[in-house]
Amino acid sequence: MIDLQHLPGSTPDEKTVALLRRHWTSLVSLGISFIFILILPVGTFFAVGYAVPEFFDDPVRTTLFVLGLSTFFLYAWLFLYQHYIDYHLDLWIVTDNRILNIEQHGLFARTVAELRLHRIQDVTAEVHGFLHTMLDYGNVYIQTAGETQRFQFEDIPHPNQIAKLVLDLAEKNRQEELGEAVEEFQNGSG
Amino acid sequence: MIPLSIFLIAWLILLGIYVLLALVSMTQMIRFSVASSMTYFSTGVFLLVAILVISVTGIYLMTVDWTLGLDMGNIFQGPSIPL
Repeated sequence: MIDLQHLPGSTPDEKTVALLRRHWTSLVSLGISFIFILILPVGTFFAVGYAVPEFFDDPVRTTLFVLGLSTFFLYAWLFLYQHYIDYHLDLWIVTDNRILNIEQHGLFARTVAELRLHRIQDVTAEVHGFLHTMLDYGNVYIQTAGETQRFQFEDIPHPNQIAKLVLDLAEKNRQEELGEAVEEFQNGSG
Repeated sequence: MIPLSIFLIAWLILLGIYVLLALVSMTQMIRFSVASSMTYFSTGVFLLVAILVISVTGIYLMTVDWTLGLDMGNIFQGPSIPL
C-alpha cells in the first residue's frame, strides 16, 4: 500500500499537498452498469415467467436458472469491482517537491511517472463542456522545460485551483533550489 | 437426458475461477492503493456481496434433488423426470 507520509523515493521533509483522482462523474457509467446488472436477472425472471408460466414449476429449470443467475451476477460484480479498481488506482499526488502520476491500465499494467516541480514551465487548466463547467472539473496540462510531451491531470475536480497550486508550488520550489545553489556557490568561493 | 449434477460441476468450476480472479483483484487493490478507509470499504463491500450471493445460492442448491436430469428436447414443456 502507498503511505502518503512515506512516498516511494521521498526525502525526509517532503510533504504531500494534494491527492487527486478523476471526478466522481467518471463513475457514472459504473453506476449505470450496476443498475443494469440488478435489473437484467429480475427482468429475465419476470419475462420468462410471463412468456412460459409453467417454466419455474419444474425444479430442474429453476435450478438451472439459479445457477446461471448466480454465475452472471458474480462475474458482473467482479467486472464492476475491477472497473472501480481502475478508477481508484489512477492517482496524481502533488507534494512540495514533485508530482507523481500513477496510472493503472487494467489489472496487470501500471505506469508511475514523476515530475520535479522546479522543472515546470507552464500550467494550463481546461474546463470544456456544460457538465464540466457546472460541476467544475476538467484537465490540467503541465509543460516542463525541454520536453514536448505534457503531463496531464485528467478530469480532476477544481482544475483552476489545482493549476494555481501547482504553479505556486513550482515557483516556491524554484526559489528554494536557487537559494540552495547560491548558498553552495558562496560557501565554495568563500 | 443431461444429469443435473453436470451443471453443478460446471458451476463449481466457474466458481473456482471466480474465486481466483477475485483474490487477484483484491490483492492488486490492497497492494497498490493509497492507504485509506475507502480502499478497505470498497473491498469489504465487494467481498460481502460476493459471499452473500454464493451463500444464498449454496443454501438453495442444498435443497435440490441432483438425481433429476434435463431433457433438452423438452426444455420448455412438462416437468423433468428422475434419471
